[in-house]
Amino acid sequence: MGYGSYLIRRLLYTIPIIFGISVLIFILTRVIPGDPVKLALGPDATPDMIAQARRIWNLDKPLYMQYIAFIVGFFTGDWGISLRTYNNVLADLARFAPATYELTAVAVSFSALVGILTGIVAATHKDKWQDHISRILSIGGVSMPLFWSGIMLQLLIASYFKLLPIGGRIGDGVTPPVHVTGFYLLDSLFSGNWIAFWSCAQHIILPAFVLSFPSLANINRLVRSAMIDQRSKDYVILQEANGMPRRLIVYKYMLKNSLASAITMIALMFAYSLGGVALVEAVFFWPGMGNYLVQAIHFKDFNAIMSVVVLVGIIIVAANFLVDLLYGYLDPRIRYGEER
Amino acid sequence: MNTSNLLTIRDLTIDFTTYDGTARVVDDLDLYVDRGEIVSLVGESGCGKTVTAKAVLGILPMPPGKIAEGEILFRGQDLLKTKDKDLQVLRGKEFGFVPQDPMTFLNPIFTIETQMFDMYTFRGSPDVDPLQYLRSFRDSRRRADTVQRALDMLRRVNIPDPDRVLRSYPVELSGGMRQRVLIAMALMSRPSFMIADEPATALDVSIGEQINEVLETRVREEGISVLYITHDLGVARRLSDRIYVMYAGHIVETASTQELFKGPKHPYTLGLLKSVPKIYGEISRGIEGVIPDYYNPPPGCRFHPRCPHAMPVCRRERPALREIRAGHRVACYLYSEEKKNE
Amino acid sequence: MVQRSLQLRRYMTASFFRLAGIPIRGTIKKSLRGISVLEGPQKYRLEGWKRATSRFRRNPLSTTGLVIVIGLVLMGLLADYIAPYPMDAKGRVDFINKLLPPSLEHPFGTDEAGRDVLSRIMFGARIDISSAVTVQLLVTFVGVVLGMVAGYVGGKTNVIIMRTADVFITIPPLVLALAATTAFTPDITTAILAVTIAWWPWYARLVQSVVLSVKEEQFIEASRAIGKSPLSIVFGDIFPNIVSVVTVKFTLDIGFVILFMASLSFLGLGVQPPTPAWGTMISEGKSYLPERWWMSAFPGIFILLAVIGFSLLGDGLRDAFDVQLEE
Repeated sequence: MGYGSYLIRRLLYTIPIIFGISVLIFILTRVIPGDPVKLALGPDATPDMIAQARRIWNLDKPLYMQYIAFIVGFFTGDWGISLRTYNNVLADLARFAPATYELTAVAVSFSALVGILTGIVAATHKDKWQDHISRILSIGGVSMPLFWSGIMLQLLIASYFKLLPIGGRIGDGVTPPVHVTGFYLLDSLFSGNWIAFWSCAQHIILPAFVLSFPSLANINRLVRSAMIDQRSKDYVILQEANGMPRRLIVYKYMLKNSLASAITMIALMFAYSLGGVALVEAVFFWPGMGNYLVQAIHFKDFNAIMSVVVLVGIIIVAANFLVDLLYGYLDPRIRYGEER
Repeated sequence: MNTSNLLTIRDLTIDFTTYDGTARVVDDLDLYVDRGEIVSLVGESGCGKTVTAKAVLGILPMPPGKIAEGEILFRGQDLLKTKDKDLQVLRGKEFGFVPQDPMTFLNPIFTIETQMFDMYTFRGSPDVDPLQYLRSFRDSRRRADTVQRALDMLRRVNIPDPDRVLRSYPVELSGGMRQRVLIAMALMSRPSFMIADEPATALDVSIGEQINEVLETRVREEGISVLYITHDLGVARRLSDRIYVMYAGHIVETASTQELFKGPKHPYTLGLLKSVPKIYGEISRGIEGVIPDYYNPPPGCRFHPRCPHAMPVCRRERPALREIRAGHRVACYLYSEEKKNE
Repeated sequence: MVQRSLQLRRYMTASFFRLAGIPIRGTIKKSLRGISVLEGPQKYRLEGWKRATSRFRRNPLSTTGLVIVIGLVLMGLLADYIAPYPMDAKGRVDFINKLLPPSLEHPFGTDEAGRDVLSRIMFGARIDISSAVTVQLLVTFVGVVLGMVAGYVGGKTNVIIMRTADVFITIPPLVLALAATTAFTPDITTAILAVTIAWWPWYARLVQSVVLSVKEEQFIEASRAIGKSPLSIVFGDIFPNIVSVVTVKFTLDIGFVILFMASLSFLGLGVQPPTPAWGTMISEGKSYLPERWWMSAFPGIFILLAVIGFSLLGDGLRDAFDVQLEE
């Protein structure tokens, strides 16, 4: 029992999941009727070229060997060559992935912060106007198609009011900051490049906000629900009966008790957002993995598709593990082995 | 009943409204607690005793619950007419609450130390702003003092290793320990009035007895007035100076402990006493019947369907609490003049 | 992660709208627990139709949902008759009238081929709603079968099925569906299959947990003791519970499947132009932004409406059936 073994168990669990993901995606992307190489090379390709290409991309070998080749390549840093860009997929990902993660990170952080705060407000002002507005906005947030709300906001704010740029990651004519992490916002801060920082910040606001909306809605609802739940908990009643000030009870005790489910939801929303980001990237011309994936699919670029999905899977599993860690820290019952 | 009592409840009537109708769970209740005394409110589960306690503490969930009538006076101030903020300050400074279930009344994700410290430092404060709160951490002397006080209190409720307990989470402690911690938390701030809601019920009998003992000792020592809620007449007998017997939302009998056990009068009280199994004797029979449906209570005396001495007048009109001897009141037609007119 | 996801399942399968705090019967009963008033028996399963329909009708939101859903469905069914320019959805083009802004003749304007947007939206309802229902039917079938097998048989089978579901669930649904479209040419059938692949695990999990919880209930033990055959237990006791839970989720999710499929279509991997589906129309209209905004704006409103309508309806159904999707 105890914290350590709990964590180790969780860690061990992640391995079959990633393995399963790789198998699943492998099946989905390799079992393709028709010949992706022929498609990629175009109508002028000679049979020789096609055969050569097939050899390069391992398509002449039986499926299980292709899979083994992929696994080996995974650990040696060779994630295959893209059918579309002819680059090493890993290199492609290194170019595009940071953009996506930056966008998703900003979006999820925003939704977590605002979601939790508005959830608390909605719970403490239950059934008053704050609660009603929050409810309507949340319903809208979850029901709205991301790409549609993106287009609408783009129309309104970028085109009509001209407050923010229409798309892209950084202004035309502004040089990107020196590459440290690939996260433009951080990189420009590190190098003190205020022009770049300002430009990137402006460009990221709209897509991040759009992406954050469904997550915000869900987190808001969850926190509200959890806090209202807490209000009827006995230990809160005890504190009330003994005359503790309301604000202390709400912001220290009730909040921390709600945090556990909140962070689980945040992790879930992070995963969900990594899907929705593809839509946001399409609307706002954001040069990220989402766009890369969609183009790869149109091209049947199986190496790229597989690598993107496995990478996303790894990130999600890592995020969940982090949440497990936090969860154990927040709730001592986990640590002391008490079954919930 | 004079107004110099610490707590006076008059004509308290509480309704609960649900989809199935409105239930009058407490009807016309009168009760008082004087300085320094321990008063028991005795009754079976569902008779409304906890509801009453919660109403006094102001923690009754008000949407389904509603106080239809009555006043609750603490040192002459009507709690039902006091604003929430002032009520909170009052509760912090004067009240203590010992709950029934030690398992659920401690926050599982904070240490005992945190909970006791916050409880002692901030209870009764009108409000806490974040700066104030953070400053409390920096005042190390005050912190150390509070910790000492907590340790001291824990020792006085017979916890052998208060250091360890202070640093633990509730999940690491046994039920009896948790209950002691709750008692210590309540006592730490020197309340003038305490409500104990069946503190021993959720525990093993022997542990429960220890809890009651510890509670009684400390309370007598500090001269704290207590309203002790229980379903166990035996416990009430041992602990309290006066007893109120409650049934289906009404007080049916009240007297000093001595007086009550010398000569219990109300059929329900008699039934309760008979229900206590005795070591040497017969199997107890209990009281026939079930507690009434609060949505459609029986007319007249709510106990009459189960009463072996029911008379026609009992079905018509509820008997009022009438004093038959000094300090001993019963609500029963058996002891009133009306009976003669039947 | 699985355990906590199970905990959170209560928030994910329970409708978002219930979280929105719309008061229901159960919450009142709970607060009475502080006093032990005689309570009526707690109802956890499918109730009589009469009580269900009266409860449904009592809630204005669920009636709103029903109205919206019926409205959209009728719009789709009767599109041939009520659309002002039905041929615009069936291949007619009219380049003279292309890209007209909203007006009296064309309340939602015309698109790049001169087709009336409103008519196309009406016909689009057919496509979006029917494909969503198809997905739901497939997913329900797969999910129920796998869930029941996993729950009832238990043991290794349960572990295998549930772990497989976990693998599917870890990948973000849109990513999974996108990847699933790789194997085939993008069109509506592919999209339906892809969404099914992404969606089934939630149903399997739900059904499995219902089966497990019912299995543990004592009356099953009693039934077995009496000697009821396993089949009759399955159909008599387990099935009715599953039916109510699955029906509610089925309805709830139709809206979200519409959203999901529209997302796929928007990326070009779902319904292909010129078929009028809401997501496809938005994607087509994207190139004509920002001046010709109406082509992308209006279909989105209908998607929004559909999601809200089906969610409200599903919520109402749940309250009417008094179904406990959470403990």
